[in-house]
Amino acid sequence: MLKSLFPTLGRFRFVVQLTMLVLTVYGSALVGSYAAEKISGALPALSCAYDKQNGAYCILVPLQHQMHHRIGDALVKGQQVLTGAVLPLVMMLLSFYVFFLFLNKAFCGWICPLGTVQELLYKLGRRLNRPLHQLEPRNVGQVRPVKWILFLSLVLLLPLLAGMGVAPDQMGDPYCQVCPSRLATTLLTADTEQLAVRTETPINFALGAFGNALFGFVIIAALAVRQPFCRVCPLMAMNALFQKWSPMRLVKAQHEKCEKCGVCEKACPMDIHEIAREHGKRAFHEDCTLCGRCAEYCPDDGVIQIKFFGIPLFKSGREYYKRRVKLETPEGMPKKRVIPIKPVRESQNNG
Amino acid sequence: MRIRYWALVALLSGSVMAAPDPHAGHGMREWTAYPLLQRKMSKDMQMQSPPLLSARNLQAGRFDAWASNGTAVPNLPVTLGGAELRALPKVGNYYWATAREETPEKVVVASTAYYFSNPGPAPRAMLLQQKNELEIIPQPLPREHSSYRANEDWKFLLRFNGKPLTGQAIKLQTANGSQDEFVSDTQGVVTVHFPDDFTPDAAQPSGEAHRHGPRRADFVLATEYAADGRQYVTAFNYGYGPDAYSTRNLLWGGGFVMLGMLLAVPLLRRKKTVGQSQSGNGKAGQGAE
Repeated sequence: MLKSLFPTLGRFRFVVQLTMLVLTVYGSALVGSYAAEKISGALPALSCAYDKQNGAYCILVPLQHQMHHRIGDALVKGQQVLTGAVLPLVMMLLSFYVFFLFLNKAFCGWICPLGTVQELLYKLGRRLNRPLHQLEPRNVGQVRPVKWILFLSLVLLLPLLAGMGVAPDQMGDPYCQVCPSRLATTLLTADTEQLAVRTETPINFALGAFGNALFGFVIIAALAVRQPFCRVCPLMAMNALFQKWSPMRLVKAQHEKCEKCGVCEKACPMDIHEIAREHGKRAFHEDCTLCGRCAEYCPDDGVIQIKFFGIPLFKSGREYYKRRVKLETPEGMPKKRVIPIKPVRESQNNG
Repeated sequence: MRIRYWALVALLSGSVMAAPDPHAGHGMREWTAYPLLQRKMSKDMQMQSPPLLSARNLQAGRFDAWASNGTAVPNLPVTLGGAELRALPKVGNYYWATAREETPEKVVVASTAYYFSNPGPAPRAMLLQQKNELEIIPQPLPREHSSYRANEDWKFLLRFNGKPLTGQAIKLQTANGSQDEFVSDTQGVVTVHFPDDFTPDAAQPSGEAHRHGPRRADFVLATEYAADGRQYVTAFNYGYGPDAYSTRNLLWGGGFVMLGMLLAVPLLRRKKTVGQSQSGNGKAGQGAE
């Protein structure tokens, strides 16, 4: 029964993603207002606080608030640093870690609503026959530091400086003001308020303008580039800080065929080229979202596995690989096109 | 001096995220005769700790509060400054506070909600628990990142002794001078439309710069009910802000999204030279074959 419903790990993940998208965006319709308080305010996924009914799940929201309102303030006053600033921060990170412990970076690959929206757009791009732009190792190396820069500057430093009074108060939540998930999730509820740029101050306007342009870029780029925003997402950076401290992980064994195969590398939506070359701990890269595609498309038995406390939850296998590639190429191109664009044109021309 | 100013703003915004706005934009002018329960502020506008609540337009005999999990905090200690509201250990989030004046002929209740920024459960139990005879219950109370705003409709439940009041009238008065009246439906629920009565040149009250909106003003909802030869008057006062789009521009927003989209359009074009970057439709995994 389960096997017929979820013939592949990819199908199972897709169903989980859609379920979580509905829960994080429309959850209040099911469980009423204050949904965020029921789930958490420290979720390791980009779910937006600006949705009037759900929201405030995302860990980056309270993290910016802590930097802005507690730590920066406590540092200026020089008192109550421990009780007023450090303890609340530790408690918040502990809440975050309770979630993270079980799923690790699967929050990026399975839960995050913006990740799901980008994947849906990429699937649409395949059906519209748009090109796929994979990043070469050199280009990937240039992009990877951006997420750390955004995390340190927009999530930690600027809110802290705003709390200390050094930076303008509008810099209290700069990441939220540019986060594409804020627009994506609120627009999915037919709410255009976040789409409208704030005009109170030049800083608000500039951040809003950048955020909106970034959102527009991501929406179109996702048709031809896999997970364009995930590559620079500061939550990816934060999750990477904790990924070694979770029993859920990607494990890859050394195998002689890996050097010349490289299918896993093509299947990886984050263009982690190391997955084909490395093994052991180095194969579980900081950009890995635990989507499991590399394990699905590895044609050798047990070489790539997703393990929880050492127990394999999924492992690569030749028979599974054969079934998988019949449905979809490693790059995500479906073998059976839903919208057969070219053949229809050709047949019309011929006719 | 600049550092001190921003530190003050941060302190204010951190400690009173969604509390009612005492005298927002209107000094001490009496804008309503209905009972009010407001946070008391010192002359230099620094927030007190713990918050001090003062009742207006009623002779409060007692002050009570309920934590977000529904736990009662009866008989708040009253000092010269007002009634002290302290969060229970480990229970933050919203608190419901009331001031009550009671005579054989009349019961007058002023009520409001106060937000402590430390974590706590959702205020569902706090709202549904019966706290007085005649009650105005927000359905729901705006979340931390939300607020009552002009041109928005919000629902309130009217109850007497825990039972919904059908066809009960409720009056709205705002510190900006608006007045309106609404009537509850068969479920005792009344939908209140907040008026767009903010003027562009209204002065910004100091300390209000970071209150999830540029400006805010007080409002009060009040209802009266007679039963068993006694008159009951209950009011709920809180803050509301200008229309959501008053400081936003949808045209600019849409324009910048379009700009971003245009910048990404070259990625959608197919190049004639097929390289590795065009391998999306190609046969993959040669090494695996």
